[in-house]
Amino acid sequence: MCNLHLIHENKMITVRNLTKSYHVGPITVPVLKGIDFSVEYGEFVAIMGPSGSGKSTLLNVLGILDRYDEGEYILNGTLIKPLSETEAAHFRSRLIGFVFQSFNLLPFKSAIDNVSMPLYYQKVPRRQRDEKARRLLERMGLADRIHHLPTEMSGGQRQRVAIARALVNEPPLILADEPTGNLDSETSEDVMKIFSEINGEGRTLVVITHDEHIAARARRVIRLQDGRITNRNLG
Amino acid sequence: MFDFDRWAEIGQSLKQHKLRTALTAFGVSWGIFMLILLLGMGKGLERGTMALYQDTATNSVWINGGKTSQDYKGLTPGRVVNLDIEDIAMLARLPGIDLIGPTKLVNKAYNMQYGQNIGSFQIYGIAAANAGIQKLSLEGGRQINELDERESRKVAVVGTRVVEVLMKNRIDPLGSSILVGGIPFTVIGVYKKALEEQSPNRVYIPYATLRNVFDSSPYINQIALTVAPGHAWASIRPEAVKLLAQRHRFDAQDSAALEIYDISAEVKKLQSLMTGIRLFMVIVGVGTLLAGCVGVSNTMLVTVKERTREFGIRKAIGASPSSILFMVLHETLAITLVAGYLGLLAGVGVIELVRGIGIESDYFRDPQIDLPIALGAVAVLSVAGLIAGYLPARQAVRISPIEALRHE
Ligand SMILES: Nc1ncnc2c1ncn2[C@@H]1O[C@H](COP(=O)(O)OP(=O)(O)OP(=O)(O)O)[C@@H](O)[C@H]1O
Ligand SMILES: [Mg+2]
Repeated sequence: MCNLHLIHENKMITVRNLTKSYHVGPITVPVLKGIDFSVEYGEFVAIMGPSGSGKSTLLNVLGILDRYDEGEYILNGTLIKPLSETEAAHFRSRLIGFVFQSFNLLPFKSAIDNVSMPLYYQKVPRRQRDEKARRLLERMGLADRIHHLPTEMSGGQRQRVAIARALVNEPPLILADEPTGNLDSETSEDVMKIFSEINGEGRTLVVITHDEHIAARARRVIRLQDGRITNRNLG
Repeated sequence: MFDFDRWAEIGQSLKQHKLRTALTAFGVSWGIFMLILLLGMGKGLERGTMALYQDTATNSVWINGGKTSQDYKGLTPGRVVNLDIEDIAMLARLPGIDLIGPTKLVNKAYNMQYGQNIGSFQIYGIAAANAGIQKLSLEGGRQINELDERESRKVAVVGTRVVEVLMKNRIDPLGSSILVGGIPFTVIGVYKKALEEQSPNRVYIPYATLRNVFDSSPYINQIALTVAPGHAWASIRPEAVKLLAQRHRFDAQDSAALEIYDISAEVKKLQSLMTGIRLFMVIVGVGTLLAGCVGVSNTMLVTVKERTREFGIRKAIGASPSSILFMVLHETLAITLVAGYLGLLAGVGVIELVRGIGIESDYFRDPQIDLPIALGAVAVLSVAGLIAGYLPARQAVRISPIEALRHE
């Protein structure tokens, strides 16, 4: 990993004056209009805001799934500027676990194969991968669903598989984009309990949600409106 | 290194599109099958054609008398040129001529008899030198030699057909005595039926014996000669034709007066024809193979497009661009290699079958795929597989994870 800027900054995430626009044909649509905030190691932060305010866009930038235009994003002491795909893959693999609203499991792979896949890309031997994936699935209460395909599982079960997958390579940072958006309130409660637990283990958690109940579990809520943070007192 | 995980991944994704995989694979199988078949059959064609000359020295020249077509010193055209035994001695003195001998066919049909069995065969008189010009492949015994000729011995080299008819294949013909026109001849050699039209019906006896016993005229049917190493018929020919023209009184420019077959020229022509055919077959075979690979490439492109979301997910959970690249390359290579291998087996199988049945004719025999060709085909296939996979693989790498995840 060459040309990376290591910065002495004792935070999981530091974002300074971050902007991002989408280009739709000739039109430039500014979506993030100067975001400033930071997240401490081990913090549990919820991001809230109306639809279209730029929450997913921000989280994708934090997850190095997307690029930003101006400003700075410092992740675990490293300035994330336009990276090569290989470098981006390295950070995604080592630092970040991502949980999506629509689960994004591979439909042709069983629960255990989906969960162990991030370890495959870390070149962990198969036996170890399976062992770890199995333990995580058991912990998620899916001991009897290990060899089921995603289509053979309920939404809540699928999301728990997805969470297990995000946890399997033990990343210090978990990012979740409306992880309970497709679940009923009871299942949501289960999933959020798991998140609290993960946070209890010392992992940093950034979760987008529309649900005030869920946000209440977080230590801090960042409110986004039209590409800006509105509650800067907590930044 | 055999990476079991990677193969498991490949197996899993190919299994998802069984029919498509099978159809694509078939394109490659067919390509390599055709390539192997064409090359194998080409070899058969080559062997068959070259076998036409297997008994004849490839540096031999055969001269027959023809009919004049031009006036010569007041003589009218249409005269038959009768070569005779003096011509042999005359031409033998020319530098560059190695072996030379006559062929004389006994005009009258003589019955040949062994015990109760009678047959009618063609009797040829040849000199010892002819054995080196037309190399009869002997099944047993020996050729006519100098001593047979000098002593006008009553000996014969016979074809297998003769043994069949006269001896019903029951007796060892060598050393036994057959009657030719009532005169006993000792069988000294039996030659193999090399080719259908190279008749197994012939009986060869020493030229001197033929003149003593059957036909005392000096005329001969054919002059057979070989060109000495380091010489070319093209440079000997003008002098030889000039000498014959003087003796037989025709114009040296009269191309109808002599019929001259230069085997080396024929062989050369055939060899370049064979090279042409082989080249053509390679082009057609490789073309078919390439079409198969274009098919694979195309299918993989479609597959990659359909799997955009899958690649996005893989990238989001930490797959590096190179791992995606190699995954697609591996898949393509797996299809082409497995399919190609099956095509190769089928091609070799068909060729072996043809060999087994023994389909053979004058221009075709013993088709075969040799190791270098098979290895070459595998090499071509691997390269083709890599080329076929490269475009789709690049495509897969270029997919941005965020675009891919939005993709439905
Ligand atoms: N690929 C894109 N191209 C163009 N515009 C986009 C693209 N993705 C998002 N946008 C726009 O950017 C803005 C922010 O989108 P984003 O998905 O970040 O909102 P969000 O806060 O996550 O909303 P929601 O709560 O509905 O998920 C929206 O106005 C959206 O139309
Ligand atoms: Mg969103």
